[in-house]
Amino acid sequence: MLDGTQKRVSSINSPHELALGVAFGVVIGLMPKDSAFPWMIGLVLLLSRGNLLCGILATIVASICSPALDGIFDRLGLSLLSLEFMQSQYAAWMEVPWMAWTRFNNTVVAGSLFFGVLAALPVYLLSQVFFRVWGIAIIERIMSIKLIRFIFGNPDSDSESQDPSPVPGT
Amino acid sequence: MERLNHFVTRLLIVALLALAAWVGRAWIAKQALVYHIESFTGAKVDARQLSMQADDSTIFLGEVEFADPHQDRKNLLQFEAASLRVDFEQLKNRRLVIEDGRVSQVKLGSPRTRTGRLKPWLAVPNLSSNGSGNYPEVLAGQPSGGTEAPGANAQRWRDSLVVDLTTTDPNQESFLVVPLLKQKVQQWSQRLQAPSQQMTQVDQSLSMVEEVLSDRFELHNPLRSGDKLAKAFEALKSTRKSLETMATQISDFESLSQKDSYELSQAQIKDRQLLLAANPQQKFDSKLINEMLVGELQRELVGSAIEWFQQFRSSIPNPSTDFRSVQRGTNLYFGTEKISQFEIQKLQIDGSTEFANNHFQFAGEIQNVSADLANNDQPMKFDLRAQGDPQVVVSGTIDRREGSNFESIQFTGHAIPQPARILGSDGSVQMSIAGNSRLHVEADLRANELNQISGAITFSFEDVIMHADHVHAVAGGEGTAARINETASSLNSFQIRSTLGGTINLPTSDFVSDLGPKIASSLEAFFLESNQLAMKKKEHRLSKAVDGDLATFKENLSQGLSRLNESWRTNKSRLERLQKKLQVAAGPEFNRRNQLR
Repeated sequence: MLDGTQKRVSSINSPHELALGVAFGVVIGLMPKDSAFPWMIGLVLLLSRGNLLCGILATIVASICSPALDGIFDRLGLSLLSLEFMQSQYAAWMEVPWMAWTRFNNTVVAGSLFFGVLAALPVYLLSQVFFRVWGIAIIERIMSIKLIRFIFGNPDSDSESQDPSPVPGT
Repeated sequence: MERLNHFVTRLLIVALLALAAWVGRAWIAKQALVYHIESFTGAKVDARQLSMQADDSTIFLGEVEFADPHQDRKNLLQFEAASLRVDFEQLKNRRLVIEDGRVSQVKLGSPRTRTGRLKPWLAVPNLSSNGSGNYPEVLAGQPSGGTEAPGANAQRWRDSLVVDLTTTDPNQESFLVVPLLKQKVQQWSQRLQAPSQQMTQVDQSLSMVEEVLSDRFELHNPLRSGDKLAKAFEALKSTRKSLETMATQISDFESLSQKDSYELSQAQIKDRQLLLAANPQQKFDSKLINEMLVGELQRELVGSAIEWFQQFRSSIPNPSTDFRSVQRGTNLYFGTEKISQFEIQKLQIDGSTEFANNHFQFAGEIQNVSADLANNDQPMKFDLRAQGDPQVVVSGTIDRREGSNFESIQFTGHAIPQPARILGSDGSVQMSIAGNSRLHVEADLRANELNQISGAITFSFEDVIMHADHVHAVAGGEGTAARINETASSLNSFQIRSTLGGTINLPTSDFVSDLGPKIASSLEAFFLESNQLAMKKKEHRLSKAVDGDLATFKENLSQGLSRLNESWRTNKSRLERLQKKLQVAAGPEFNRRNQLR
């Protein structure tokens, strides 16, 4: 059963799925983790077809980079949260139970969420191009690492029967 | 089918993660709590144990250390165990509200073995440094107010002494009788001089007449004796006149001498009256004595109390200045009321702390603690009691709400052992207190955001054994010290009540004490007795000295007048005798002629 699961997990390695994982990872990584938003987005990533490994790696890289962008997020978040016409709506959200856990009222959370969502599409597209050109080879090389193979499974067994890659032979 | 398989697999992963989260919820909660507190304080938090009991909403924490953000190897707070009843309803709003709890074995300011600094990547500089510190770092100062140097006070005290117990010799010049006596002596010496000269002249005249009468040969020759007899008659005549004048003079002298004696005795009486009137009663300024004796002690104790108060104020963490918050961004509230994310409604605590070089075990209750005291509904209150000896009760209020930003503390300390102390200085009065006295302190202090301080402190010294070691010679020296010791032996307690003002770093204090009036009344009684005794001595010495001179004067005067009288009488009888002889020698014609003249 474990082997089967590993095969199923590792079989998701098309450029679309890899890029989807990266896009989710970037959004998650940019946001402060004491907000419920990145965890909810993580849950969506888990339930989506996005590649988990790419998602985790992108989260780590984005998390390292995000504090350097806090200045931008802060200003962006402040602009968003200061929108006059949204004030009553924001105030209403503040009263919603559990909403406080999202910390949407924090300038960096709001700014990074907005920035992440905006950046998600370009990141996805760029990642897809990248994976189409070099990605599969890189992923397969990473997947050849024993530890990674143990965690995420052996892609060879599935890819032999069905090659989901739109660029065969890469 | 393949998509379904994929979805099922992911669901399985989510389920596994949820299961893992449930199993490790205590660990996750601990990590979340630690992360949040670290973000808030900007320093490391170590919690060894955390367990939760869902049925009564209680969290148990064990071996927790909160590092001091400003001191690497020091804890802000450390406790061994805590059971905290959490309001889970408030968790919906991401607020940790502890309704009730108990924290045991709290240690404040304990040392750390590991660094208290956060990992570099966690210590993100706060972008929202919108709060400025409520209280800048200030050092408590020594109170001013009557802060003259002890030497100056001693000098001022010495200057206030109107009675000089060191001078016992009377100043004779200040008495009326002395110059009057001198004047009379001089006057009588002059007065008696003229009659004496006259008496000599009378004596010479009479001698001349005797000489005329003694030469019988010449006397029987009328040609030669005529002129001589006429001269003798003339001499006797003038002598008689002189003697008559002198008789009047002598009579006047006797009445004058009686008058002068009366004047001198009146002057003596007046002098005695003046002596009694000039005996001033020494009054002592009890405030000045207080300043001399307990001024320094008061300032030292008030200074310590203010330092304690400032230490207490500094030990209350002020999130905006004391914590190096690493929270990212700024929270906006869109017009809704800003509520603190962390609140303790009631907490029983016990523990120990080092305070002012004393180790205290304490227990008590804290109410209304929050991460944002400025937005509290109620001010933070605490009531702590030190266990064991000394017995100290501290209760206070910390109100950082807008418009009423202050801290107040009520401190009651019983039976705090006191070291031996020296009061006053050798320039005035110096007293010592033996080292077995005990101090009771009742303080009610209040300070606001501008560091302005107000309140009062009462220091009561009990079981006091006092001794006057030294009193300045001007104030009577050892005699006065002995008298003060009589008072001191019955004095086993005294009180100092200080009223504070000014600011924490420049406080002012005004004080009253019951020690000063007690010592002042003792000194006054002693000065009165000593002064009266000294005055009696002076009067006695003066009487002795003046009476001697007066008696000599009176005796001399009496002798002078007696001599004059005696001479007068002698000369008068000589005159009468010579008159008769001369009449016989001159015959009846001559006598008639002379009588006719």
